[in-house]
Amino acid sequence: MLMIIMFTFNAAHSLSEEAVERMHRQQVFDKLVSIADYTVKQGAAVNENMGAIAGEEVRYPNWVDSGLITSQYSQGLKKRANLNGLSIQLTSPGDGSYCIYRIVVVGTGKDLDLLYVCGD
Amino acid sequence: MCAVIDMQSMEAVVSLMFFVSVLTYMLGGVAEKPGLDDSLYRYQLTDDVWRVEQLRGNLKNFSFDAGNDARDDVEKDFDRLNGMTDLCIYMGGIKVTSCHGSHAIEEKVASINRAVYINGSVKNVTLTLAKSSG
Repeated sequence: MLMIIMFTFNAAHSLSEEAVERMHRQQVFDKLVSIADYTVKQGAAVNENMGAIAGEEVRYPNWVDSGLITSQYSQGLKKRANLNGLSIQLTSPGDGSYCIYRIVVVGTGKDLDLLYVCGD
Repeated sequence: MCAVIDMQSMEAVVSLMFFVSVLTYMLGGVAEKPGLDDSLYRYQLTDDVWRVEQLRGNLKNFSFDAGNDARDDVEKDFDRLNGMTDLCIYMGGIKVTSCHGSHAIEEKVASINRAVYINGSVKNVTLTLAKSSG
C-alpha cells in the first residue's frame, strides 16, 4: 500500500512538473511572438510624418529602422513582459539562445533581413 | 491465515499493476502531446514574405509570365529568403518558388491568400511557406 502511495505521489509530482514546464515554455514563446509583432509593426517600424495634418504619421510594418532597436527599447519591453532576459537584434544570435525571427526589410534600399527576438 | 495473506498480496500486486499501467498511460500521453502552439507565428511569418515583397515594390506590374521582371525579382528574393531561413516559399502553387525539384516538403508552415493586380485584373494568389528536407 505504501508503495502504491509513493508511486502515485511521484507520478503526480512528475506530471505536474511537466505541465508547469510546458506552460512556462508556451508563455515565453507567446511573449516573444507578441514582442516581435509589436516591434515590426510599431516599435521599430519606419514612420514618416506626412505633414498634412499635425502629428499625422504613416508607419510601414516590416520596414525596420535599426536605429530604433536600442538596448533601452529591449529593456523596456523586457520589463513590461516580465521576462528574465530579452534581446532584439538584426544579427543572428549565438547558439543556446531561445529565439524567434521575423522577415523584414531594412535601410533605404529595403534590403531583406531577419529580426531576431530572443528571451527566456 | 496463509491463504488470507496470499489473497492480500495478490490484491496489492493487482492494484499496483493497475496504477502503474494507468500512470504509464498518462505520462506517455503527456510526453506525446505536441510542443508549442506556434500557429499564429506561422501565419505572421508567411504574411511577412508578402509584406516585404510589397515594400520592395516587386508586386507592381507582377505577372506569372516567364520573363516578367517583377516575377524574376520575387523569385530572387525567395531564393535569398530560402538561404536565410531554410524555408521553401511557393507563390501561386509552384509558379514562383525558391524550391525546385529535389526539395521534398517536410511540413507546411502556413498558406495565405492575397489579392494582387495581374495583367489588368485583381487575382487571388496563394503564398505558402514550407519546411523542406532538400
